[in-house]
Amino acid sequence: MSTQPPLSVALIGNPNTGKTSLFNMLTGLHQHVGNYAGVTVEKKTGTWTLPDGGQVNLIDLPGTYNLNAASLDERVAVDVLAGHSSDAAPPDLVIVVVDVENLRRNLYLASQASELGVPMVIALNCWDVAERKGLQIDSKLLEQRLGVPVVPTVARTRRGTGALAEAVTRALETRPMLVRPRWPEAVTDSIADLRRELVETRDETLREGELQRLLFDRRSAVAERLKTPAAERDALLRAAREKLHLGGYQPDAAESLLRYRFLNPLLNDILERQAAMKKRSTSESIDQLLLHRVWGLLVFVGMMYVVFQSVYTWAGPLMDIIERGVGWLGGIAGGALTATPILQSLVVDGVIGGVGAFLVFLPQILVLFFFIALLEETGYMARAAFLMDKLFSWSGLNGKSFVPLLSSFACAIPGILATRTISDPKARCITILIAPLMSCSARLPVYLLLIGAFIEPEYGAAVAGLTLFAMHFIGVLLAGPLAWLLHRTLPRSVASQPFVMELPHYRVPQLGRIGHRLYESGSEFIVRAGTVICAMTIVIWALLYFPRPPELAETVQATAQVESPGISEAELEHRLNAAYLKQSYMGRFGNAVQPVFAPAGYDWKITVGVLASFPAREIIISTLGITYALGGEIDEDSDDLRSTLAKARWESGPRAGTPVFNLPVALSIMVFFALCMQCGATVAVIAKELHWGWAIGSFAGLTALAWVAAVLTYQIGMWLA
Amino acid sequence: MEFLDRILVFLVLGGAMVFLYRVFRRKKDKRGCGCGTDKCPTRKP
Amino acid sequence: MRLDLIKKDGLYRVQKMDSGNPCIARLMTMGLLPDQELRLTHEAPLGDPIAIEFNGCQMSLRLRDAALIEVEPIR
Repeated sequence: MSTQPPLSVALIGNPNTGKTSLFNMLTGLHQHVGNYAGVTVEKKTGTWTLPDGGQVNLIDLPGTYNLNAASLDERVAVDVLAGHSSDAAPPDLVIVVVDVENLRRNLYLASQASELGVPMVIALNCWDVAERKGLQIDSKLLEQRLGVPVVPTVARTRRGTGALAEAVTRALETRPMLVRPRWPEAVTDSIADLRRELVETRDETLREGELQRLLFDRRSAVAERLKTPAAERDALLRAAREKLHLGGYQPDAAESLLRYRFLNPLLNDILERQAAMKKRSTSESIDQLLLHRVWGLLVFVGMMYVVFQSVYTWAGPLMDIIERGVGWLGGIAGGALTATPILQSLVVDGVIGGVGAFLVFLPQILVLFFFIALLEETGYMARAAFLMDKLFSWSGLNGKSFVPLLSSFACAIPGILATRTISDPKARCITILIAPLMSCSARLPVYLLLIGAFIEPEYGAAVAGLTLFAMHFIGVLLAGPLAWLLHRTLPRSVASQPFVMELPHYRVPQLGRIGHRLYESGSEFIVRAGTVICAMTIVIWALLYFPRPPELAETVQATAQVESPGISEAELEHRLNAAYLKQSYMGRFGNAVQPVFAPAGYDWKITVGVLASFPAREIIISTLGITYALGGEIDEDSDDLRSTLAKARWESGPRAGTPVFNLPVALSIMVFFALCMQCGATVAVIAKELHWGWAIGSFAGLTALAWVAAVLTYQIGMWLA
Repeated sequence: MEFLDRILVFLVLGGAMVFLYRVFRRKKDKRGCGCGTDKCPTRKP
Repeated sequence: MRLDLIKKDGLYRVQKMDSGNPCIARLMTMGLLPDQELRLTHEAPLGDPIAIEFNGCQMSLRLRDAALIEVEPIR
């Protein structure tokens, strides 16, 4: 076996069948698993060691209900199975993961896959759920009828994986094929026409199953792969479909009708007991409350409220520990480096002050991610999309935009990449352009800092949670009209995407998996803090530290002697630090640009923070940390950034002596960060996915929008106050 | 001592800038989606 | 009777559907075919979209698409 190339096995199945759990179980590789339709967009591979010691290459294909290759992921599935994918070997076997509770619909996909000529093994997954519900399926009988091995499995508890491995080992030798329908003459004739014209005359390589896809699907992505010129190809396909129509079958409906007509007799007596099940499933009973017109909405709002509020109430003690740890580390490092004052400032004010200020928010981020994972794992996210759909539909967005937009709340980049599942180019473009408005997790530290400093102490955790929720909502609120505007102005494309979404059965979340997801997001946060954020922090420290002309010290000393003769040593030091900071490279720049942000109530230090955050928005935390540390404003009784901000005073100008940060300023900063596209990576991804023009346009547009909104927030806030 | 101080700071600063350059430049294997995480496993779009 | 006008929880049977609509075509591949029985299980707060149950699975669709499916009440 070692001399041959490794055998390859593909996993395919409907969304929410536990296919990805099975993949993780077999390969030991972990990946994100959600209950939300279409979450596995990327193709994933892993190595699976069979009981006989042989190794196979396991490919996890995107979860899909059928192979009607309309979107990119369905096309990936067809291409891989047919052996036309450039980055995957043609599989020697396909394992179809079938949800016992939806046997008929799941076997439809298996039947479509079998037409591509790949040997098959069927894994009847969620066997435990079926057993609990009194659903007994005779897997031996099913095996006889279908002609391929049928193995009951429970992916979450590893049950049946041994039997599956044995079945696969045997099947790799015997190459069993699923029974295929006998197509009526109208279909076989049309297929024969296509084969003659495309394969024999035009030398295309197409399997039987691919010819079927070309015939049955109105806009098949398989067609894009052909060498034949588009006009010629489309004429051929139209002719074949016309022939099918004349033969008495409506081309769009033919496959579903005929395939189910073939499957039903095979399954009807097996499924008889299923029909005797009670009429309402548990999921449906739960949904009577959760999808209720009034209660459902209240529960949704209440749930969001609890989620955002717990971010403040649960994380406090852990944050204190981290804060104390950072302060202690700063003290040690400061003591050890007294001989090298510049390096001391770099380490204490720059790295520890900057990165430390950022790390403090780890507990709060974990709390939020815990709830998101919980809602996804239980299957509630699809319900949230169901409840909120109407809010989106008027602006021309459709159900398929939900997944990308929802994942943009974690990070806009995977969100934008996920728009590849949207086959309508216009809807895709709009979704990409509004994705940066979804409040990504990088904005979270900014909200947490400002809310923690100015709202929580004064108004309590409830209002703090509410503000945090509002900040997440403001982007959505503006995304609607923006999408509508784009929808009206962009040229129309083909018919809009269908919105058909499954409401999967509720599941008891697995703590292990939630824990794993928390570990992944937590370690990502720490790694980011330790690498990119740390490096940027060092650069920003340098820009805030240098230059340090020695004559400045003399000038400050001289003016201090004249103005206030009895000045204390500490006060002098403080003035000197402030003077250095103000004439540093970044300080000069901030002072020059500050008038632009003056209407939003920002002083030059906030301006520096905002400007430094354009490559990555969370940089503002460490920038503010460094700014105040270098300015000598962090003293013993305000060792954390939040209390330092609360003490900051205007140095000059009409408001000298009054606090820099009041409620309107804090809100204005948060609004600015909620809307502005301060993320170099997102700009680059938009440029790659659409065009440079769109990237620059959306950057400029969102920055302008953020500025206007921030100014409005500040001005209205001041007027009210 | 002052000389050592300057050299060390210069080294750290240079290291940080080299690191940032390496993270954000286009990689040959087209890995790294541009999110800035070093060794990001996601393919470049 | 059109699917967008049916009452909650009643049992209905599909009579005919416009398979040219991509949304309907998708539902057909999931097993919603003529003669299939279905129930309206949920309506979203503003009445749109709706969720229907057939063959043990729940799918949500918008009223605009539901209007293209003709059903008859069974009881």
